Amino acid sequence: MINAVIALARREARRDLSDKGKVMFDIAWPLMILAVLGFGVDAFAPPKAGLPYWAFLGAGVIGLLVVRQSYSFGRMLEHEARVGYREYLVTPVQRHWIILGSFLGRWTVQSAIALIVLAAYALAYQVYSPYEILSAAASVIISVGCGLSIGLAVSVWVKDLRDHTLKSWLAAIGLALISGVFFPVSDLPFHLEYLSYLSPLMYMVDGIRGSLIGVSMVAPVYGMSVTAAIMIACLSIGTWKSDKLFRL
Amino acid sequence: MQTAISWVQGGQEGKMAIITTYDLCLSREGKKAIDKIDISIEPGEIFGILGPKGSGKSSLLHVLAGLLPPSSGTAVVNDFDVLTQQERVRRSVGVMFQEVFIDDWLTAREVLDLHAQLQGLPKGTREKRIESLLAQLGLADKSSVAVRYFTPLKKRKLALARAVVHSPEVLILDEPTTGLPREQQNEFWATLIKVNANFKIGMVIATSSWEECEKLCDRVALIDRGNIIRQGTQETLKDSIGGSNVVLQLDRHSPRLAESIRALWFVKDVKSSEKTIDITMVPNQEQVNKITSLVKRFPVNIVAMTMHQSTLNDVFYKHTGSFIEDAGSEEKVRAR
Repeated sequence: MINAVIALARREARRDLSDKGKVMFDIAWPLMILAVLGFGVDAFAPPKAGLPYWAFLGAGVIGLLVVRQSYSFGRMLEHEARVGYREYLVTPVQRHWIILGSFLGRWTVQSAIALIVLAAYALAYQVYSPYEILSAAASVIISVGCGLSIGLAVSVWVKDLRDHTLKSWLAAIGLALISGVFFPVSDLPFHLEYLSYLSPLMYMVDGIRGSLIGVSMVAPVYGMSVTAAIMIACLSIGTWKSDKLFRL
Repeated sequence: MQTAISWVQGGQEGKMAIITTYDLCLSREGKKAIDKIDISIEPGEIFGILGPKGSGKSSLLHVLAGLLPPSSGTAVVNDFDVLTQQERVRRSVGVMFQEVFIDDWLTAREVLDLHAQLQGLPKGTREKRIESLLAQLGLADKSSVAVRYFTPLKKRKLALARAVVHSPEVLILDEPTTGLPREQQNEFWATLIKVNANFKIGMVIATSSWEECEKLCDRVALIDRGNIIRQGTQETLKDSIGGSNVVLQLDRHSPRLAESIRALWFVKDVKSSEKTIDITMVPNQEQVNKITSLVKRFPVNIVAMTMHQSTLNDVFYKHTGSFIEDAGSEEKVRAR
């Protein structure tokens, strides 16, 4: 069964990489936001959490990338469950292994994309410490996995995700606003600050920021642990309930 | 370890049936998609399931492929029960769906290799099998081309190769030529016949095209609203509605000629009225020649002769009161 999962992961990775324009876009748009918004606001805004605004925004931009990856994965799964995966259901491979293979393939490629963005961010901030770079890389990889697993869990539970595009994006924007993407959580009104602790995105962004530049609400290890726990929970639910995804 | 079911016998000659169903039912969303289906398919046979869209064909195929568990009844595929041995069933059948979906970012060889891996074939076997299939289905020159550049016909052929890459004993096809232009349909039918002959593989074809059934199938089951209404060889089914007929328009009335024609062994019925003789038979050239020779012995001349060959669509009409809507084919079934 391991061979089947690896074969499906490679298939998914090939699919992701086959659309080179999309790969380039996914690398370019976070960097563009960082350059335009980060340096633009930096010119007149006071430092955030003791950092220049672009340096603060860097981790948030990776968080936004993870949100997009999560949504995109959910939509892809829903589409595949209608058509593409049916071709694999006629093989002896069980449904949850098919889902896991796809997850692993996409996790690999999307992590690589996010790591390229992280590398640019680290270079701009002149972080050369291997420990900090490795720690931030681990945080990014776990965050991408967490985002994808949330996309999986949502696609399993929400029927016709494409009918909920507006709601999805409103939810994503809401999450971004309370998760320390654009400004520190400590700048939020008191009750929203508490709400932010319920947001997975807050732990992802905070973990990346804390690992790379040492500024965070919670200890980076704690942020990474929460992110990893959410990932495992969502992945388990998504694969366990994957039968709900397939409509024959 | 799961044990194979070996008690199932099917067919007339005591051959072990590759598919047998007994009282097979499937309910979906509170409605019976298929109801008490009894069929038996022999090795190497091409068996057609003919019916209009929404008649339960695809649901039946999904059960036979081990994708949906039946609500009640039994289905045994290659000696494996579809309810309790789904994984083994899926290992022993190949399936080609109506809507062909192939990962178009992969090459033909990669598509086949992926499916062979999912079926658990070892590397050496995989490579040999893939080479052989690509060559036999005329895809060898396209083996390294991304599937997105394939024509619809080539995609179907690749989907067919994918379905048989693990050498299954049964191939299940759902509307295999829907959407293809006429000449490509003919080519794909020829490919299916070739695969059936070369690989000695049994086929179950669900289709709403009676022409497809007539071209391909040894035996046919007519399905309507989830029920098998008739099944048998094409000849048996056509005979059940009186077969085909030849109508002779003569220049004068001749009751003796009508009686002589009735005496021919291949004639099933004769209706004579004024200058017309309506002969119920299975028309082939040799037998039509015998009739024209017979007419020459009588003092009458043939003014006109028309032949009508019964189709499976006529059989369906006879038993259901409506023709099959052949929405998937370019040629709509004639409304008569």
